[in-house]
Amino acid sequence: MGGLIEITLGIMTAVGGFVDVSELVFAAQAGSRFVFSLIWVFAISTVAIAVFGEMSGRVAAITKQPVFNLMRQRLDLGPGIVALIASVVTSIITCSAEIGGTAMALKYLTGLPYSLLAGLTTLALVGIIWALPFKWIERLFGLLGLLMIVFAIATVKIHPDWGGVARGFIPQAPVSLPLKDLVTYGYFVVAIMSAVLFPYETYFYSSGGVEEQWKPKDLMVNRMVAIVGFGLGSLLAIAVLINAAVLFRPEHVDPAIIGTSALEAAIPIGKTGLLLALLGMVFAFSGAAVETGLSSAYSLAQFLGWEWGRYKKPHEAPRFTIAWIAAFALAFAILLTGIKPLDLVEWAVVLSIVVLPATYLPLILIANDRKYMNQHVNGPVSNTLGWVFYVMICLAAAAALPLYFVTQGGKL
Amino acid sequence: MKLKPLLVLALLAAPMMAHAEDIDSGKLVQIRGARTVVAEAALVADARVHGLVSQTYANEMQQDALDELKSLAKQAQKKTPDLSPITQRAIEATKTSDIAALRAIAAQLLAMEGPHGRAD
Amino acid sequence: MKPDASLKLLAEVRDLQIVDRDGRNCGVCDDIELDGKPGGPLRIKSLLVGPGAYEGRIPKWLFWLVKRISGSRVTKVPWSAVDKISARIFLNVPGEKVGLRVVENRWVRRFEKVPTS
Repeated sequence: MGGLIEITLGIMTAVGGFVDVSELVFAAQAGSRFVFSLIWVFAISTVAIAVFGEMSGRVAAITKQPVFNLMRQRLDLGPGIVALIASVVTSIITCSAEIGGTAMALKYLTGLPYSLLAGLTTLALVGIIWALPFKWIERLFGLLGLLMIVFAIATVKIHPDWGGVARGFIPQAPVSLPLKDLVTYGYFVVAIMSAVLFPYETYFYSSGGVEEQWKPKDLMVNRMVAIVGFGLGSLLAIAVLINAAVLFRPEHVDPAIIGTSALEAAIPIGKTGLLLALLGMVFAFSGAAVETGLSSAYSLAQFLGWEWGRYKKPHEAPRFTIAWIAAFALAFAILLTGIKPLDLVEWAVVLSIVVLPATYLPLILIANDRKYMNQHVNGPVSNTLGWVFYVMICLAAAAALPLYFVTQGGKL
Repeated sequence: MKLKPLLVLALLAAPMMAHAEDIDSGKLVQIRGARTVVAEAALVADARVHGLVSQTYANEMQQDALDELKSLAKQAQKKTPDLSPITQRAIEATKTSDIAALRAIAAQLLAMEGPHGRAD
Repeated sequence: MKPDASLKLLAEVRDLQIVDRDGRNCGVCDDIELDGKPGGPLRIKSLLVGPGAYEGRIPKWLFWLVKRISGSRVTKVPWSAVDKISARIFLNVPGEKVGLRVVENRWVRRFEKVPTS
C-alpha cells in the first residue's frame, strides 16, 4: 500500500468528512453563538471518529469485509433493511446538501445561476467518478480540499484569546445560560457530534480498506491515518469556530448564508483569502459529495451482495455503477425542488444521528469478536473508548429529534 | 429494544413542548433570523468598501441577503407583523448597501430579542 | 470453517456474502434450507439466495414491499458447492453453475455495450 496514496486517502476522508458543508455551517454558528464553549464537542467527537475509523479499517483489513456487510450479519435482516433504507436516504440527502454547497461556492466565485451550477457540478462529479481512476479522484479532492487551511491561517492572523480557546477543550455546560439557550446549546452538541460522526465516513473508509486489500501489515498505517487524518480535519473545523467567535459574534452575525463563512478568510487576509476559502469549499464539499454518493451505492451493493468497487471498471460492477449514478441524480433532483442547502444540512444531521447507533454497534461487536479478528481484537483502550462513545451516541440519538423540534432546528 | 418506548415518548412530547413555547419561540426565531441576515449584509457591504472581497462575491451575497429578507418578510406577515416595516427598511438598506442603516437595524432587532439576544 | 463442521448458530452462515471460485460476489446467503428428521441431526441442504428467501424473516408488510421492488425469486445453492466459510461463504464452483449471478451478468452484458465502461 503506497504511503502517499494512503495519506491522500486519509486527508481526503478527513477534510471532505470534516469540513463538509454541515461542519462549516455548524462550526461557524457554534462559534458565533457560544464563543469557544463547543470546541470540546469537536474534540471528543474527533476522538470518537478516530476510534471507530481505526476499528472499521482494522475490521476491513482482517475480515476483508466492509462495515455494511457486517451490519446485516449482526443486526439480522429486518433491522438491517431499516438501517439500509435510513443510511441510503441520509447519504443521498447529505450528497444533495454537498452539491448545493458546492454550487453556492461556485456562484460566489463566478456569478453564474445556482441551478445551472448545481447541474454542472452533478454532471462533473459523475463524469469524474466514471472516467478517472479512483486514485486520481482521491488525489484531486484530497489535495485541493487542503485549501481549507486558509481558515487556520486566518485563525493565527486574528490573534484569538488562546487561553479561552484552550478552556474550550474542557467539557462544559454553560449552566448560567437562560433555559432556551441551554436547550439550543444541547442541540448544537448533538448536531456537531452527528456532523463529525456521519455514518458515510465509516462506510467509505472501510470500503476503501477492502478495495485497497489492506492486510494486517497495514494496521499501523490505518491507525496513523485515522488519528492524523481525522485530527487534521478537526483542527480546521475548530479554526472555523474560532474565527466565527472572533469575527462574527461582535457583528451580531450567526451565519444564515453559506457564503458568509468565507468572510472568515477575507477579513484578515483579503481577496486572496476569499478566493482560497471559496475554492477550498468547492473541493471540500464536492469531495464529500463524492463520498456520500458512493457511500449510498456501497451500502446497497454490500447489503445485497452485488459486485461493488471504485477500483472496478463500470461494466465489472454494473448495478453498483447504476446505484451511484442514481444517487447523484436523486441528490440533484432534491435540489431542483428549491430546498435550500442549509435546510438539507439540518435534515442530514438529524437523520444521521438517529441511524448512528445501528452503524456503530455491529462494528464494536465484530471488532471484539476473536472468531473474525483473531489476535487483532480491540485492545482495552479501543474497547473502553468504543463503548463509552457508543453510549454517548445513543444518548445523542435519543435527544436529537426532541431537541430539533423544540429549538426549531437550532434557530431558537 | 428498550430504547423504543423512550424514543416514542420523546417524539410525542417534543411537538407538545414546542407548541407550549410556540408564541414566543416562533417570533424569536424570525427576529433572530432577520437580525443575522441584516448583520451579514452589513458585514459584506463593509468588506466590499474595504476591498476585501470581489465584486462578484459581494453582489451574490447582497442578492442572497435580499432573497432571505423577502422570504422572512413574507413569513413575518402572519406571526410577527411588527417585524414587517423593519424588514422593509432592511431590504431598502441592503439594496443601497447602506452600512450604517443596516447596523442600526441589526441593533434594533437584537434589542427586540430581549434576554436571548446573546448567549454568553 | 469447513462444510462438515457442526454449526452452532444460523448466524454463522446466514447473511454472509457469497463469493464464487473466481473471487466474484454472488449475492448474500438470505436463508438456509435444512434437512433432517425430528430428533435427529439437522444438516444444511442448501443456501437460499434471493428476495423470496426474506419471507418468514421479516414482517409481512416489509416482505410485501420487498416483493414489489425486487420480486420473490429464490435460488437454491446446494451445500456441496460450499468450499469454506469464514467471514464470507466461498464456493468451489463458478456462480453461474449454481444459478447465481444471473442478474449481475445480464447487466454486465448491457454495460459492455456502453463506451468507456
